Amino acid sequence: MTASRLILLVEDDPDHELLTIRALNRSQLRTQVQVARDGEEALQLLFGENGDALPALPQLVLLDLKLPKVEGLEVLRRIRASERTRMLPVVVLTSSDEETDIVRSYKLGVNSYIRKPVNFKDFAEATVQLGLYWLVLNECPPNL
Amino acid sequence: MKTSLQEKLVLTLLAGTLLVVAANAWLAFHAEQVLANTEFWVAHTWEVIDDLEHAMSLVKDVETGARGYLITGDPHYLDVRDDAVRLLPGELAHLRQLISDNPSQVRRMEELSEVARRRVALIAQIVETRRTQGQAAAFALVNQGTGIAEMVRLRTLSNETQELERTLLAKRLADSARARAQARVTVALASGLDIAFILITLTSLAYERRLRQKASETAQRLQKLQAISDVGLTRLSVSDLTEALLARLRSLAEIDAVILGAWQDGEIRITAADGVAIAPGTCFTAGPGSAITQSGQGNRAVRLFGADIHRLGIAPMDEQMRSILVLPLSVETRVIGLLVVGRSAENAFREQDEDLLLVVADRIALAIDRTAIYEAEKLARRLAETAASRAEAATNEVQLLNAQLEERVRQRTAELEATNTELEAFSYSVSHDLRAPLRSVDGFSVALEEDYGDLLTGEGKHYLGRIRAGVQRMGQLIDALLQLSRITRAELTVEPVALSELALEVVQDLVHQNPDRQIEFVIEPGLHAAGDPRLLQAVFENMLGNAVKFTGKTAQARIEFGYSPERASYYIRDNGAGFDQQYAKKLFIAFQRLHGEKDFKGSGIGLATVARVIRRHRGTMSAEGAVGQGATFWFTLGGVQ
Repeated sequence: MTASRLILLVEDDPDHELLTIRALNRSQLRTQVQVARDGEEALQLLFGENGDALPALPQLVLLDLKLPKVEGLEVLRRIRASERTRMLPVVVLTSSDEETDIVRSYKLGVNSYIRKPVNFKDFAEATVQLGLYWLVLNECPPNL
Repeated sequence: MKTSLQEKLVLTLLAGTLLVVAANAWLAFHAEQVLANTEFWVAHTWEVIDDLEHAMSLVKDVETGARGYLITGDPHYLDVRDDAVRLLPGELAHLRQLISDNPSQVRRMEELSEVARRRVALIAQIVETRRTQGQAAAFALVNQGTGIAEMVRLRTLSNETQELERTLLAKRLADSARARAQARVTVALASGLDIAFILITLTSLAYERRLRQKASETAQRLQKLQAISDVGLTRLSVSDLTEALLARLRSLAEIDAVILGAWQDGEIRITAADGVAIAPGTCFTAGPGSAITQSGQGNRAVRLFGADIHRLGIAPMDEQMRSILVLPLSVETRVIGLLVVGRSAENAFREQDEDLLLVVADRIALAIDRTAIYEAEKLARRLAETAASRAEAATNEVQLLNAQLEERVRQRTAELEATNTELEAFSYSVSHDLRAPLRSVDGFSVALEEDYGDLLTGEGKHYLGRIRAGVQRMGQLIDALLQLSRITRAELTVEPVALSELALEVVQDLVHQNPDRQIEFVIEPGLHAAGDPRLLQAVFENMLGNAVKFTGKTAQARIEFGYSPERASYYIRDNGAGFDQQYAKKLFIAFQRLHGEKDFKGSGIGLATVARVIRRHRGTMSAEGAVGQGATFWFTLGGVQ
């Protein structure tokens, strides 16, 4: 499973999507990135029937909070509610540093909460660090 | 509370009624007993008289029997006598028992018995003489004896006894009659009392029900009023406000047409109308007898119905409506406008409607006044800005106007604060969304530099650097704005705060962040205040941070925090760049900066944030300084509880 190193990026801003993928590509991590542009698409990729779903679960979900259709916190709730995905590492990556957003995310069982810095170099570094940590350093539960 | 008092009263009354009913029953029973007792004694008297008569007739029987025998010698006569003699003692004994309660009667009866006994004994002796010695001897004994005197005495005693019993009878009959009358009066009185109590209880029950009904009506009224007032709190322009108010008023107070107009110099100028076609801006002037003039000049509500409708003075309204209420909108005692409401039903406004609508009118007046002040203040500021460049006289006038307005605005600040909070929420979400594109700009600048840097000349790279610097600066500004907005929205949690320790913590952070600086910090120990520790930490971070920043070009930097008992204020002082005192007021306004970006970097929001925190603590803030001679910032935290 670890060979695939798949990241599910849930992000509605195409700029940020491009920049995130670029940052990951430039790192030494060999990762594949699957993008979902709204919450509904993310849920479909994780839980969809009729062959919409990913063949295997990703190693990591990078989740924005402000999303069209189904908002990020709801996606997180659904991930934690399902037996199959409840231990999937989810990192919230968002512009918001509202205390309520942070508290609600942790209450729903997020693994990390990262506020996107304005400075791109910081942002790129944070993204790569996240990938490195969750895909390489961190040991995931075996049955994931 | 009122209800439970009422309940208590009703319970008391019910208990009282029960008590009275019980007392009544007892009184009736008692009266009946008295009556029975009297009747018993009346019957008793009759029995005594009867028995006495019987006893006397027995004595007579003794005499009559003996007399017959004396004259005829026929022994059959003696049978009558013997019967009477046999019955007499029993009868007398019964009589004595009957009158045993009356001593004088007892004495009389004893004498009567004795005389009767003697008389019977004498007659027995005479009868015996007749039988043994013949008629002549017996007659001789009759003539010589005391028979007549004893008979007379017996009759007298009997009469006296009877007389006394009859007197007693008369008295007892009178007693009986009195007892009957008394019983009647008692029962009548008690029944009256019963009825009265029951009536009182029923009345107070009805009264209580009325009170309950009234309370529920009041609650409904308050609810409607609240719904209408709510509208007034959040609108920023008079036209928005009136539109929302009229719509709410019509749906809640079941009103068919409503007009709102400004009142000035005996004229109403319509600002809004709903349910009746009158264009805003239309003016009406009506004579002294008209309802609008009466209401506007007299500052009172005027109710119109029936033929009076045409006294309104506003043309289409009086033709379409059949009940109209004109209410003054007054601020303090000044009428600023009129609210005219109409219903198409005849005589449809009751007193409760009028009460409710009067309060509504007050709220509307307050809301309009407040909004008008807000608009006037905005206008005055614009005026002041343009007038400054024109004649000085105009400026003075505007300043005067400003001063007056400021005073009134201060009075309404509390009400406007709710609106400000909304604006802050708006600015928060705006700042938030601004960050996203900024990140894109920065990201693609970096990507450009990294991927195509080889194609760029030195100048091209420099431009990219400038783009990125601009982005960073805008990011900082947005962050500062976010902090400012957060401070305004944050709940104030007041607790004791060790100011000196808080300042020291901030100083340690600053020293850590500026390892290359040599600064002397003088923090007065042991200062305490009541306040919100998080917000006060932001105050120290900003002010001490500023002090560090503006002493950046001072050789021997010195920064102090302390308390001055003379001025009853805290102060933060530095010996840095200082500022021109004439611009002191500008320091606390967001984005106002007194130094160029080149000299000292900054967002221009820090002191605005500080001032806001101080204001939220009901404190005051001022600054003193001179160019090149440092700055002192004074603040108080007085007012928080």
